[in-house]
Amino acid sequence: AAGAKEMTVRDALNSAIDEEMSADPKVFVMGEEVGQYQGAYKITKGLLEKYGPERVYDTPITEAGFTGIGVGAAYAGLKPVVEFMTFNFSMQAIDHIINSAAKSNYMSAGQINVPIVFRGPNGAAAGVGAQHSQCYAAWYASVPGLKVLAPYSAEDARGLLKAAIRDPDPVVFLENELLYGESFPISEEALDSSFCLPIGKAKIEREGKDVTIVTFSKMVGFALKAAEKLAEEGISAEVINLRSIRPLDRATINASVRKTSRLVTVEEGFPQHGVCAEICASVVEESFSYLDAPVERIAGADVPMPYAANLERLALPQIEDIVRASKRACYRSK
Amino acid sequence: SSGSDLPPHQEIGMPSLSPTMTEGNIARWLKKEGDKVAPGEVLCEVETDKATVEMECMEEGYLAKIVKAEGSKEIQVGEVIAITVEDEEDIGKFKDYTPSSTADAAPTKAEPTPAPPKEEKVKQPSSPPEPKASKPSTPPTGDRVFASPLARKLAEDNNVPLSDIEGTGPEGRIVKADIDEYLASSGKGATAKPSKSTDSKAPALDYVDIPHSQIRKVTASRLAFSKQTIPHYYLTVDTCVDKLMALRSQLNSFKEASGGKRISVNDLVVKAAALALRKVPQCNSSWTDDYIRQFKNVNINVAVQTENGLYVPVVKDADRKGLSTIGEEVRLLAQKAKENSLKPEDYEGGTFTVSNLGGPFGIKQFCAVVNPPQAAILAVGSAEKRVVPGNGPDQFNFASYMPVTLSCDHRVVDGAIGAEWLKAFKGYIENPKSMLL
Repeated sequence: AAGAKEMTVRDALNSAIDEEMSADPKVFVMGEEVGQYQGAYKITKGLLEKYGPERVYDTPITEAGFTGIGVGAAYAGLKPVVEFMTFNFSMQAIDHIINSAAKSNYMSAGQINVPIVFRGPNGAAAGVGAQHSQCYAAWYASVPGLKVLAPYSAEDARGLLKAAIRDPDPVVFLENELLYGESFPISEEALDSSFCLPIGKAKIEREGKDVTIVTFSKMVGFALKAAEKLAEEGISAEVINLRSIRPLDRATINASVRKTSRLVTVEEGFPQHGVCAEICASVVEESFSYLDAPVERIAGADVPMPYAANLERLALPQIEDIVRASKRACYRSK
Repeated sequence: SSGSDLPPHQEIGMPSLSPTMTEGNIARWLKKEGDKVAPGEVLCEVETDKATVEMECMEEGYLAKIVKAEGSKEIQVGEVIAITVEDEEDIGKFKDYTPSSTADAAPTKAEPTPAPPKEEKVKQPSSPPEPKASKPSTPPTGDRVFASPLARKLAEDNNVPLSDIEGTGPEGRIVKADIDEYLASSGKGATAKPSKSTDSKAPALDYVDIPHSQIRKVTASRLAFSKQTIPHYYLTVDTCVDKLMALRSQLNSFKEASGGKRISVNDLVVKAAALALRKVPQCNSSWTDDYIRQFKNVNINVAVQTENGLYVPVVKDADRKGLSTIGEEVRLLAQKAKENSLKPEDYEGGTFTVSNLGGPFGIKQFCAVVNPPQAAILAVGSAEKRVVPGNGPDQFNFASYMPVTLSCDHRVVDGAIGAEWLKAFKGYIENPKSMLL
């Protein structure tokens, strides 16, 4: 149709930052290669030219340094958007993120707000080895005082990043490198500069009645493909895109499981103490009597990410894994 | 819990009495609570998927508690059926014993008590039969019914006894759909929509529901499996039995003179089939996904119908046995089948089956279902006297013909091979003296 527009996740993120910088002079971006190089993944393309070096800071290669500067700027009332070239490098700066940013509002009895966004690609890309392939969703989502968002589509990326920048509290914004170049249909509403998505609200991407598949980020696409395959075999799967890992939308998850009676959770991160485990706990706590099958958990393998392409594939959830787990959940001997 | 304050005792588990046995029924207890038991004495009779087998005691002691009473059905292998103790005075302490150790559970409907750690100990390896195993190989399930939380809630809301329902979920767990189906088919469902039954005006049917015996279940599942997965085809041929009958009466006059038992036509058929299998061993084979296994032994199962169900005991190495031996063995096995006392060695290891509905029942001709994992089965019809045209225009002769039908698994036996086998069989039947060669 003529009205059906498409947008890449990269353009969605870029336009969201651009619009928020344009709307609020307190918003600025900082990070390695965000300015003159236009961003390692071109998320900040054109911003230096448009807003100048005062609002688009190229930093040295020192996460501990520039993240601390960013948190300090937020204490003082600015709204920094700090880019990590990958969230693996945020480990250098995790003290600032958790001890300085996440806890200050509580420890100051609400006197200090820390309106900062930490953003960048998270989790596995392709062939970048163990030290560049970890998912930090479960790490940051375990910390009170942080909000953790993970977009899947272009609409998610725009709506959630704009919400994150406007939010008065520190937000960890987990992108996925492999989604940057992916195009998604986008509505006129989502293209409006006032567009914003609520933090803490999941989206039902596909309705179904037999099994609920809950996941986030790139795995939403896998879950949707799995749901298509399941539909061919007569299993109707509901796919929930979490969008927000913290706060976790327990209400939407539980309402869906109460409808389908079966739950499959999917994440790329490690299985132990993961996001899947948390979703499972929320359902066992709130909807135990509605479960008709054990919760199926599909996560990354419990090993540092292998470099070899064949092993890397085996270490990550695949569409067929989701299909298989869903069938297990729906199994009957007759 | 019951385990901690009880004196030393042995938990007797349901033994695995055949390679395919997963559950068994207690047919009869020969010992009662309080009886002294010694090694080799028969504790009880267990009805397995194939036969009723005596379960012997392995150690000296006293039978303190019968956990699974006579007639208990579908007891999983390893599940506790009885308790024995060494000291006579300990017998009374097991009066109220339950293997799942739920003694401490609150009387109200409490959450299921987790199995005590004692039961999680892994049994030391022991060879079957394992009546003396002190710990069952799986945690004893006792009366515990496994159901999903949702199924449990639905059952409670609708007053459905979970124990009445057979679960179809993973590991036999009862799931929501099982409760839904139960409700739809139970009296509740019927009273819920009486209008429907009155509408249809059909007179109520008078019927009786006969519970499945173990052998009925096995027959049903094996034959359904066979007919659904094995590509059957059928070859029928008429065999002239005049010479066979003549030989038989000759042999039987010798037998009668010496006081021996008579030889039946079926004994001759078994012998001829065995020799034909030697000649065409492709029919003496089993299909597997990776290869066809061709047997060097010729072990022939003979179908025997009894009041309890259909049994197929086996005559081992029938190709190398004389007619007297074959006849004697078939008679003995048939007797055992009727008494429900076949042992596993009496029915295991067959490579070909003969089913005869001709002699005893007068069935003209029929097609049998292959007895897996075998590749062929011979169906024997009844011999019939016919008029056959002679050489000249007005000439005719009389001759007796017995039609036989070979059912083959086409994965193993191609049509021409099946025909070749029948040719060999027909050769032995029509010239029975060639069986001597």
